[in-house]
Amino acid sequence: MSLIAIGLIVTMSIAGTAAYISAAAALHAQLDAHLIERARTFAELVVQERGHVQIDFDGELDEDTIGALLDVVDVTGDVIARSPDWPEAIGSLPVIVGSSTRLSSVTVDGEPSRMVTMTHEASFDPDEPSSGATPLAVIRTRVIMRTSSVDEAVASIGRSLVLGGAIAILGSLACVLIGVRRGLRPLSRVRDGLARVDAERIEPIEWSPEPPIELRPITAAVNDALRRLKHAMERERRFTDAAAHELRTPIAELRSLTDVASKWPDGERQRAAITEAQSIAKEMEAIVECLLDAARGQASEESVEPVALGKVVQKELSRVRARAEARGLSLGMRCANGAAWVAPPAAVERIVRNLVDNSIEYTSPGGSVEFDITEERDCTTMRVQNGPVSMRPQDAASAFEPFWRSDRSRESRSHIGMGLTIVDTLARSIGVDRLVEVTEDQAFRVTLTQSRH
Amino acid sequence: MRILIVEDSQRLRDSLSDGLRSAGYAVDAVGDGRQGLIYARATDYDLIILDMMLPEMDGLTVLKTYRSTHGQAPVLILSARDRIEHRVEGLRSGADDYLVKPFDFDELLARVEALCRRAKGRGANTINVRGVTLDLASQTFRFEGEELVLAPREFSMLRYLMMNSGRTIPRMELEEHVYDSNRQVWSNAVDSAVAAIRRALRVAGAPNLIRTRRGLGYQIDTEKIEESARR
Repeated sequence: MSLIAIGLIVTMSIAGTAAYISAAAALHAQLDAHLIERARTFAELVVQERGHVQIDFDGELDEDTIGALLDVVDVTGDVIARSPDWPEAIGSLPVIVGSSTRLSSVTVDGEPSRMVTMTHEASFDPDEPSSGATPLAVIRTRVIMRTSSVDEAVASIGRSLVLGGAIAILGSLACVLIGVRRGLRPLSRVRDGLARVDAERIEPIEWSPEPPIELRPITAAVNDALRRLKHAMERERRFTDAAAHELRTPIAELRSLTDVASKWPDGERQRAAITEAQSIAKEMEAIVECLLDAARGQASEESVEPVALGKVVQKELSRVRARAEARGLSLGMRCANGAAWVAPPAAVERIVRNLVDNSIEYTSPGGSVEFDITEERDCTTMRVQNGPVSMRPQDAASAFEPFWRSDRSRESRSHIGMGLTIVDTLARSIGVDRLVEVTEDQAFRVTLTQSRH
Repeated sequence: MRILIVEDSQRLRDSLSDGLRSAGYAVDAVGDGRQGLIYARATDYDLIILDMMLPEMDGLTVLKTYRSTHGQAPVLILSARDRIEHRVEGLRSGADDYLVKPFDFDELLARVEALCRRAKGRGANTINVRGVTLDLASQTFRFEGEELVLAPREFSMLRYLMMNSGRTIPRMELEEHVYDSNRQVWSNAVDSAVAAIRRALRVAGAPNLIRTRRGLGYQIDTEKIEESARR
């Protein structure tokens, strides 16, 4: 606001000064032109008659009558005509032969004035018959006019400009102030709306009344940002709740077991408590390992190279073949020749290992686990499908969330629901697109695609 | 007193059941919300211990559905969720208490006792009937300073009778509140337990507190009932 005010004052001042200077220059130029015109008129009145030079003017030559001071002299310095109040201080300068007009500033009675000095030849009296035989006399005509009226007019213009400029500045400032305030009022509503956003319950703002059309892209962007923030906070809360459940439950189990065993000491009960405590410790170790695995996935900085997917999948399937057979699961793989991802080998191995373990763990007995690796011109895709699983199609959206497990799989404590989170984290870090689907016939499908761009 | 535990962790379910049975409660335990709701509606429990994150149906839905169908038993929520809004939401949905995991078993036991006591309309934690004192804090019966020796089932039955002093309690109700669904209850089990309690009272020189109301059930003789305010 202060910048606008300063800008306005400077602009108006410059414009006012320029107008003042122009007006003053124009008035002075007009005065000079009038002065020359007056001198020329008097000069034309000077005539040469029978060798005698005189002015053909019968009136008084005082300033009040002719509006100026006049002095006409010939080349010898004889005065031909002179106003009675011609200032002595101006003096009688020698007449220079030759036609010329010269303007100068002088002071008359302490007042600033302009003087024109015109040197010219006197004209002949047209009624004299022998005028052509006598040479023309050179005379000098000087006319002085006071500039006080012009100076007063210039000063008056200056005062008008200052006053008008000040009024214009104040008016403009008031208009700018009102305009800016009115223009910014919708922004105040945006500010108030944002101030009302509760950190604990983030919701998009309902703008009522609707903001002006110019601000709608901003309010829409604000609401989009709030929606994303809300989504992120909900995900964070789900993670915190799930983490609290997964981490606190084994501790609660441990405390409850040991509390009961020490409150009612009994050999059998204490032996059972120790065995269970050991199992709980192993499970807690697995949880910590999974969390660390997920954290390491986010910080992967290993060097990349082409990794043959077929070999990695084959190796991992061999590792779990006995477990799969024990559950009556069939394992299969189709792989295009030379199909590979360009990635750190350790990351690819961890992705495949988690996918395989996840499939074996959550596929119902008698089901199947199928890997299908295909290569197209611009991408390599690894798709794993296992089923049947106890999941609904809508569960697919949550499958990559940390600690997420379907209801039935919650009964099992051997997995904590971090496997697919690790897959998601690692795949993201090596530039692989992820897609999870659960089909109506209860098949769980993960599709991972690496583009060559 | 009969308690229902709805908890998805098998180990926690087992250890809680073990501890509460050792403290003289009859305990039923299930691992998912849907089963929990079925059990809660089918039996008149003295207390329900309910986890929040459950398979099939979450604990809050179980609680709201149970309360909406006029389920009256006190509910203690046992949850890993510790945020204030979770506690408030649980209590406002009809829970009587909220305990965050992990917990101290003695604290859980104290809360269980307090909730059971309040459900029976009793503020004090001791009940005295003609010199026989039930101390709910230490879970003991005493007569003239000497502790009565009772088996867990007999203890549980005398406690239920004393907490409902003055009321005639049918055999069916005693069975329901003293035996859990895992135990086979023989037709004369309640009579045998009452006989054992009377024998223990007699051995200790205490008066016979239990009156048989033929065809109706059993009643604690309310003559000279006193409640101390020792807390």
